[in-house]
Amino acid sequence: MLRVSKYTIVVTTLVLMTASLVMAQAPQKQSQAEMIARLQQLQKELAELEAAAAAVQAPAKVAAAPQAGQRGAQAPAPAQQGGRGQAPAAAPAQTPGMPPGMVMPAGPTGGDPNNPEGLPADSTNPQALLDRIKLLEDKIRYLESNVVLTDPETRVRKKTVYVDKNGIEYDQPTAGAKKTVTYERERVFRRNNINEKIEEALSDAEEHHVQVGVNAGIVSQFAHRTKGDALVQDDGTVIKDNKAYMLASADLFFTAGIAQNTIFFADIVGLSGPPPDLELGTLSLVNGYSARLVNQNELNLREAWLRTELFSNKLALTAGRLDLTNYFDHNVAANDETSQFISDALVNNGALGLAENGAGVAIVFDPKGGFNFKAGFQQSSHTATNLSDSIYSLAELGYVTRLPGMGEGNYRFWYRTDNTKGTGYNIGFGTSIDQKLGPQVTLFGRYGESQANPERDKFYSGGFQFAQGLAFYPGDKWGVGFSQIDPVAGGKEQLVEGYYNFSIAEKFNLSFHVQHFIEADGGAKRGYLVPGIRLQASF
Amino acid sequence: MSKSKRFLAAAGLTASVFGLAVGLLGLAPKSVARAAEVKVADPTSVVMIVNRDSNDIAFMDIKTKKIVGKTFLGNNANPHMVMMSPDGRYVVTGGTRANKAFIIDSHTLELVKIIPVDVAPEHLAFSPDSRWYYQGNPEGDSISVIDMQSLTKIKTIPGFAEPLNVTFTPDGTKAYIGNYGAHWVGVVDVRRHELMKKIQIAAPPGTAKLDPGRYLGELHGINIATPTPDGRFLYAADGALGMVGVIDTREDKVIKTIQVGKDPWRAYMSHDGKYVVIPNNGDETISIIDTSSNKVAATLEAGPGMVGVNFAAGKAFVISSSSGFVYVYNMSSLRPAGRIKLGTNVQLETATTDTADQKIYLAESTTNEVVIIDARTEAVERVGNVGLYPWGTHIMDSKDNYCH
Amino acid sequence: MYTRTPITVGVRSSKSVQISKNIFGFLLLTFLATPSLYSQGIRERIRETAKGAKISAEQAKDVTLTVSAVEERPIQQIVRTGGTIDKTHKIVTATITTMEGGLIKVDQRARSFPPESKGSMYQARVTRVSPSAGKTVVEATLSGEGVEGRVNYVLEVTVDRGTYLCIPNEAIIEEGDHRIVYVEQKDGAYLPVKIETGIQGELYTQVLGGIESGNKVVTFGSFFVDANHKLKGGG
Repeated sequence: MLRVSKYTIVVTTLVLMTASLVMAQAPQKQSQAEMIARLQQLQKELAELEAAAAAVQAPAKVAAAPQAGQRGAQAPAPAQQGGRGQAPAAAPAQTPGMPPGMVMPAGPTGGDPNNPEGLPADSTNPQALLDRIKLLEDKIRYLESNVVLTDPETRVRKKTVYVDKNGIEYDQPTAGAKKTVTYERERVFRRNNINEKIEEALSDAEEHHVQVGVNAGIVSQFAHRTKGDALVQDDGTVIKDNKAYMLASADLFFTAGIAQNTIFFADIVGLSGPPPDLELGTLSLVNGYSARLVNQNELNLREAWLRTELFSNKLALTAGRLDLTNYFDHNVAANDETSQFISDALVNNGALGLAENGAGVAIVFDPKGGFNFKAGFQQSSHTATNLSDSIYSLAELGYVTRLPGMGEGNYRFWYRTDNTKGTGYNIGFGTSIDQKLGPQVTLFGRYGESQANPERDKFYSGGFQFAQGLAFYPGDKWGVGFSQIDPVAGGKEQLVEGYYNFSIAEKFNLSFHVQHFIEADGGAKRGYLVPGIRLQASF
Repeated sequence: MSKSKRFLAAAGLTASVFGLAVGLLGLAPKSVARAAEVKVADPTSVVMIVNRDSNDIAFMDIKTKKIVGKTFLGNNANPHMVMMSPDGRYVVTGGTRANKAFIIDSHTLELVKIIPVDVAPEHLAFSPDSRWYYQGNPEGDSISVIDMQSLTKIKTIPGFAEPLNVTFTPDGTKAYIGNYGAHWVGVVDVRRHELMKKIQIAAPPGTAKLDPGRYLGELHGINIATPTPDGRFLYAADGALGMVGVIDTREDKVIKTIQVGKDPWRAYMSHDGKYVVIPNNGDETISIIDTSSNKVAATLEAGPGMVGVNFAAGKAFVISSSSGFVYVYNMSSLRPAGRIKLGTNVQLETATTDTADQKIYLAESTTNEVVIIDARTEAVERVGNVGLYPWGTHIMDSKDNYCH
Repeated sequence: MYTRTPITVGVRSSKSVQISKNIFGFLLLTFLATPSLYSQGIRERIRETAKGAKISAEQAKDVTLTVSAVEERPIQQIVRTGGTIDKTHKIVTATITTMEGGLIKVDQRARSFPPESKGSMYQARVTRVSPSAGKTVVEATLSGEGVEGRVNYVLEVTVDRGTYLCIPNEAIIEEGDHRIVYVEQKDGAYLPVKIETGIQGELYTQVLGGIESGNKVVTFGSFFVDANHKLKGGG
């Protein structure tokens, strides 16, 4: 017979009710078996991740582009362990370190790095199991975020180390060790996709190889005498009227980056065809391309120089065979005979007096703050037997400003000396100005004086350029210009030119020119109207 | 004790214990706030850093310059741009590889929601009332609309051509989408989340057919329609055409086109709204447009690969990504004011400006650093180990929050 | 009046305990009911499969039907006012004449902008609060310098009211003197529920009664659901 007191029944009911509440409200509490299963799963994931990381870290053939090129081949800052996800390069198959601030329990007692506490496999301590689960989850999370499972990039970086008298290298300042700079290879993991990798490889290849460019132009001109008698040359030849001329020019230039901030440049030019300058007898060149002409149908090394930049790229030094006027007497609206005016008198200052290229040095100081200073010298005669007998030197001060109500303006002042004539140093000075009157209109002007004892030869030029939409097509530009040369020795030239440049394609331009020259010699005046077409292609 | 009294005592004990169990097990209606640790008490006090390769968003305290927390988004997420919602509650980012949007609690830095979006999400924007998060998906040619109240994606707006950036009007009724794969700006009705119209900035010139390499090759269209501070006008630069179109937002039409340099990247508005700076990557210049006359006020020499412009201390700082230089310009005189060299062979990414317009926080991905530039003195300070491949930075309510 | 019927549990002894049928029944019922009550969840209490508005999947997509959970969230209120900036272009002074002035405290986060250009948004901090009869004068200092030439500024002070059980404002439908929301049911229907509300924030409103944490209420598309429900004779 079962004797059950009512109190027992009440208490039993109470216990049952409480137990059911606990079971209903705590479905998330894991059983021990579940915890152990989770633990095993995490250990398996961790092992897989570490194995994959070890496979990546093992010395292996690296990608063909050892440096990342434009994306930064040499990082100046020292590598921080853990910060860049770099596994230690010294030991392959090494487990990456723990997340910062995470304390690893005491060293392995059971020989299993995944079980540093040496818990037996059948541990029944729930809290210990939970702690282990958390530790493993944190470790996996760290690995997943910091171990990049892609091919590593290798790059070289500058590193500061400390070397003692025995040649032992230390990473930290050490007594008796001297601070020095060295270079070391490091592996960097990047999550680049294949397109980015290809782009990096291509731009890296571009930076480390010679780049070749072509600049080709054909100028066809026609000369019609508008004033005066026909010109008679020294040998008695009478220059007939209404003749056509054509000059083809091809520039092949090479550029190569040979060191940090240092490039090599070479320009080979070939010209063919008769320009009008051979017959018209003008004081300045009708076709500005003729300035490059030495002998027809011959290749000529026009320029070959090395250029490097120093002091945070503020100072540029160029040395070699160069054209000093490439660095001086610039003008935004009238500087380039291949795309602007074709008359030499409108793209150069007649008072500069530099006839040919030669060996020399150019220094440009430009902190990009508005002021710039340039200086240079070069050999000015190819027949001179030493540099001292034909040295041409030039210095220029430039300033960028913005006048109220107008756009930006460039103001340049130069001074030069030249002893080519063998009669001492011949000096000259001048200015080149271009000022934006508005977004579409640029006013330009040049003035120069050249010593011609006892007086001075004078040169003037000026005009306007119209662009930025004030044309048929967006890339087109056109201009009008005037120049006058007053040499002391006699003669005088006045020139007017107008041109329109069609921007047909990004690499192809077509322009039309009309020039009118008036040459005065003594009391006689002779005038020429020279219309022309220019085709210019550049690659 | 009598039997009845003993029974009552037992019943009372039962009820008491039961009630105690109820209370201990938390069966009462949940009225206790979540006990998650608050890592960022003030959302305006941090700079957010997008770390592309470590797949996280780092939060750096502006005053101490220490990383106070990071939110890991998941493997291969590749976050691109991060933004704080205008109400300071959430931080959001799109994971370009994951095709997902990530919502982070701005105080606890916990990842609260992951929302699948379209292909390769990049840039994003919030409506001014913090209600809508528009995530641009350039590869998917769509915009994902995420409701920030329910934290769900409610719509995907199709019909774009590489949508790169979103600009909301100040009243939040419309959004303008820059299409980098086209020459038009899309106008979206924010009430219905529909593409209403396409505003063409300019037509390619007649000579375009003679230059297929340029016009049929990779198209550099419109990155963004940049608003004036009053929201009345937008400036949209078209890279292929070398033009900036000025759009009147009241009538949704182009009122003027302004020719600038070659391959303009995008327009950046100065904080006072007087000038727009356009970096022209095709000829390494910048064009500065005067917004009062809508004319180019100055064209100045700059550097290669320009990816951003920040304004601070009366100057414009133009980031030349591959050269390692930041070009500086005086915005009063519109003249060059030098350049700051940040390193050799480094890759500069984008930057944000603090709300006092004094400091610029620039991400430098080569060295995994954030470079802090004092705009007044141009002194440079570096904070290292911010994460792997920092791609961009963001400060809440900064006037220079952008991405490339 | 009922009569107790003594139950004898398997004994014939005179000493066997006689347990009241009623007490045993009550305890047994409580024991059985307890786990089912809590394991099913509170949501089950309000399930009514027959009376909710039913929306098809296509309709839901058309109206972009969105539901949002009833849960604990921080409620932010934004107190808006207008003021003027001082000559230093740094300090905005504004006056609040409503009860909201009492919510403003020093060091609260604020945003300010000239009404003519909302894009020129400035971060600010409340630096002084001066309550007086019927109004509160607030000073906020901008983190940067204000736009030159602009005098009038809008000031928005963010007041964190605390974390409460709340729903998005958009979920609430005003009906006369009470407020309802549509709660999603297990069978996909939506049932109107009258609620009591408390603090109303910028995006969320505190819920004081009527619904519980974990419920899902319709936010986007609530008017459509309401219309659908009323058309079918509900409410």
